[in-house]
Amino acid sequence: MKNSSLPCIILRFTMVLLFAWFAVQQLMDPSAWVGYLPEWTGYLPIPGEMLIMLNGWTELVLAAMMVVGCFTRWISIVLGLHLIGIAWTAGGAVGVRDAALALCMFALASGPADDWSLDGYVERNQK
Amino acid sequence: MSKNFASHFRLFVALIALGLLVVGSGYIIWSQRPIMKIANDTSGATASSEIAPLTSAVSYSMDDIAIHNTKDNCWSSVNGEVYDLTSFVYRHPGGAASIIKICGMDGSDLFSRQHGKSRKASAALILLKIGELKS
Repeated sequence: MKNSSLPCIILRFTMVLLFAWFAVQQLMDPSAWVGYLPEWTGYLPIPGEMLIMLNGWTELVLAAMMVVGCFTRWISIVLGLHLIGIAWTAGGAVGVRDAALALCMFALASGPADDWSLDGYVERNQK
Repeated sequence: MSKNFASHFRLFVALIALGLLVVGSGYIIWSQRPIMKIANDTSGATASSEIAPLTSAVSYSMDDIAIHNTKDNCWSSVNGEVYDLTSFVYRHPGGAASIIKICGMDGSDLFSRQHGKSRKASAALILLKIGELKS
């Protein structure tokens, strides 16, 4: 493993842990998370718990893709934009934290594919 | 190892993930399908008559409702039906305050004044129904 890969590996697995943990929490107890939904979702003809579960499942699948490093850049951009949306909606201290996490996702997206990822494997084989 | 194999393998993994995403989301939606059917019902039947078979056996008195009078445990009755508004307090597009105001009480007047016969508001409300008000 090249030393230059280490920061990307640490960042990738850190963000995977973050998203996986929140996703599992949302799937296990969706009603505890309904309060975090933005107000406009109140007019959607979809129960809040279902929205939370769909969000949790999406985050879990994307986190699983990030574990193996499959299309990491695209997933990082999607999850980064998702975090920006949450930061914008939540505001305050939570908003600042999530905006910082979103920037971490964009940093991951702009970095090179690391040695432990499927993207890195593909890139090495294309050279 | 050919470069094609590596590239195709990555695509295969992405397709598996997409499949899991679709199947999992489908399961979540399917598992709550009865509620969705009620919310999206555009036929002549009212939403309340559709949901009646699910909760017709459950009825609550105003005393039962009065116990649930906080933002963390918020029940209210509207037009003879009882709703658990706890999960909706902070999702109410008009703000939490107007929901908290009716926790543990009858909210029929406030609801009618604010929303009239708004289909959107009724659709949001019907998802939260837990029973009927004892007459």
